Amino acid sequence: MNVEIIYLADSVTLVVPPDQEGVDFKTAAAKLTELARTLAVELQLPVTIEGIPEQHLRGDEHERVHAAGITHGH
Amino acid sequence: MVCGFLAVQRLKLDANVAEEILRAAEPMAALEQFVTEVLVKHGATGAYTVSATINEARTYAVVTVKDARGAEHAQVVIYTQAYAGHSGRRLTDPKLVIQGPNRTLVDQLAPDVEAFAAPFAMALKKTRTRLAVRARLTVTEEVTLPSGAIIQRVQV
Repeated sequence: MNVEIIYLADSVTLVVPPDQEGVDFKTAAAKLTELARTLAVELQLPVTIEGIPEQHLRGDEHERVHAAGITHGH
Repeated sequence: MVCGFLAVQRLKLDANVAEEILRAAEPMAALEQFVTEVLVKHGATGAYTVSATINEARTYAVVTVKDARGAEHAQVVIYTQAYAGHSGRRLTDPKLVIQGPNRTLVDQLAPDVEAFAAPFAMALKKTRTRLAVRARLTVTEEVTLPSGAIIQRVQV
């Protein structure tokens, strides 16, 4: 799966570009959460995830995303 | 007229200029360029050489200002992340130390370098992070936009 990490002046955004074939969003959500957490700790900046459909960020994964201080589109 | 314009520009070595320089060059080159600009601003051009080094973990950078004979006049150390200070207390903000035998030079460098330290520390942290991402993931493309934003395309 392709992901764009966008380093802005005061934040970082992880974007999953649309129209990718065969993306397992459940696995992708877990991987992106881990990557986002690492970036947030290293840079001490807010991190946002975009491009993961809301239904794949529910339950435990959703809790983990917010527990790590990561935001995403609701 | 041109000289006047340049003089005005050189008086404005604030955080905006720091970020502008950091957008145009890698952090360490930008650091050397910025300190050189400060020296030029104070009429010290040509008298000193500026060199910047960084530790392997990229957690602090050291700039030395030496004269033509190699004697050190001033040293700037910018820490880019939390570290244990002399008191053992853990400091969280980027820490800046400006010291050296040439007090005049140290005093001239201090205000401008203080404005540079925070954006430099952030730029260095981003560089360190991007290198860590490169080491762990497959990076297919890396682009720096005119705005200073960096896009790293990776495969996970």
